[in-house]
Amino acid sequence: MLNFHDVSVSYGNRTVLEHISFTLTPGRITVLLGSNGAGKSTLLRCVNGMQTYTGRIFLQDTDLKTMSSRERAKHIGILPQILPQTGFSCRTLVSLGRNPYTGTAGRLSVSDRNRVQMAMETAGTAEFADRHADTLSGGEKQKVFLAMLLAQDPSVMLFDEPCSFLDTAARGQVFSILRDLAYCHGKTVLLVLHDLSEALEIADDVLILAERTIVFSGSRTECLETEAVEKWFGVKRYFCTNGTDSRIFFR
Amino acid sequence: MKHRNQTGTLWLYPVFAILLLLTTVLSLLSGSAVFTLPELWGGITGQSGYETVHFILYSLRLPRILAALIAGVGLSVAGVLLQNIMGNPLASPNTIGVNAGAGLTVVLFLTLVPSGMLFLPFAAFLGAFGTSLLILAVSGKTGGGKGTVVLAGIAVTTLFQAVISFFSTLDTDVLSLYTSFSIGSFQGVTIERLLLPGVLVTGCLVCALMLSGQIAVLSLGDGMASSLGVSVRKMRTVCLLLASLSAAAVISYAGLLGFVGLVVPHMARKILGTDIRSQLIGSAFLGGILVMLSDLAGRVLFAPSEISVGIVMALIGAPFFFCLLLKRKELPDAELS
Repeated sequence: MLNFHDVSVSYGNRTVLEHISFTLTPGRITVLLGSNGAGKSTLLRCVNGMQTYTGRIFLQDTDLKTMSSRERAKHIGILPQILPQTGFSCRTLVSLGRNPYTGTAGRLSVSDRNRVQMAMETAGTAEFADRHADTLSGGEKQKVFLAMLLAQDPSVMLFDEPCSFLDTAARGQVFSILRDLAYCHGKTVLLVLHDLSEALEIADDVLILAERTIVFSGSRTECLETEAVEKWFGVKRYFCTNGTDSRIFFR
Repeated sequence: MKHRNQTGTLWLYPVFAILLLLTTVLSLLSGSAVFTLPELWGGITGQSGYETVHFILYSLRLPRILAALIAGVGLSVAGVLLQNIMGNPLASPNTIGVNAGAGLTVVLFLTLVPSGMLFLPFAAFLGAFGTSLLILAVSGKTGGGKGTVVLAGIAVTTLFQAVISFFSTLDTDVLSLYTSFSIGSFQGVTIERLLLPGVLVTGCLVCALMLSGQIAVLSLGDGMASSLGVSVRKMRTVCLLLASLSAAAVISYAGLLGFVGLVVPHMARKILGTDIRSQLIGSAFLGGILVMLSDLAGRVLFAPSEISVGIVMALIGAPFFFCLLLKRKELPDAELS
């Protein structure tokens, strides 16, 4: 469980986030929505220690500020929106996910290697394990970094636009992995998504960030009932029915 | 492109070791006086009749070979560390101001204490190491980001260069001595003077190898490294200190040898791939071989006159670096991290 308690972020005199409080629950997928520049990525940066903030973020009962980077990384993993360029092979890259558990020289044990292999297979990247990561397409690269996060195996997983470079089939695959992580492995999953229809499709819980704070926090059903998405994003809700399958989309 | 992983390139290390051995033997044999293999053996074992050879080997050539080896290893290791932790392919010991710092203290020392040549290496070391500490402190005040380190390095280097120029203009003797220091040379080096630099460079290489896992993660960028459990500021500071210490140890006896710290890490990456351990070990070998060969060329090509190793390094290094850039078409940035 990850609990944000009255978190605020300012750059000089400019306040970016104000009095943010919410709780992420294990075994559920929470989607964080917000327009461009709302502060979603800033909020994620608070969690990995790259952003100074006031207030507190608790992992269970432990304040994140009191945890070492290594200890924090064993429990919380983040997949950023902008992935770094790297000269490493995919396997090497995925194996870096085991960093919180290895020594400073980064030597992997047999169980580390097994976990790396398993992560690559789960993310569907085993076939290009020995390829140079920067020769991959944007979508393939995104899957390799997902495999790295799976190898890291934290209990709280935060994803910033994990599907931005993926085609429809690959998006389905990634969502299926995320559901598996939350529902079968009890992971706490937070997704930052821009596609409102897609967000409402996968979300158990929804957070809407606007006007520097959380303006809506509730379950997917509550979000639909209160028309929170329509209100905060100025869109209309449509239903697309194909036989027995009915889907919501926003425009 | 297939990635060259660490196990796939292990066979290259014995090849490097043999090349290093051959270069060493060649350097012992060649110079103003050329020896045959039996003469070399006689000189090394100190047989009677080979006293002159023994003297030349132990007093002149062996110290220079060791000096070249330590310089190659020290500057290359510093280069590997800096290029990876800064994510900048153009990073070299000069980026963190070690050259400018050493130059400044040398010029000040020559101006203020002209008779204290014996202590010049200490002045150079203090200047090189002290300047990188200053840059670290300045960048630390503004968050310790890698961009800030580079900018602070540029600012300090520019300031120090101005001071160097000022003092050099005032005194032509200082200008002449500073010029030879800035080119870099192993002339007059003794085994005793190499002991401390040798220990420091070896220590830095060992520490860098022990931290190679963290350096690899750090090369992914600050945000990613932090979420993978690296204490970014602490680790970057440790690596910068190691690089600075290693480079300062070399500068203290060799002067400002350019290009080694910049070019050799690229050579190692090209040959061995991007694994940090491979880069460190490969750069150590290649740096040692390259500087030894450059020193040998400087001694032999226009014998009995001698060209400073710094000049030969620049003459070899610059075109080589240019070729590397031209061959990098298919992967412009991929191998740079």
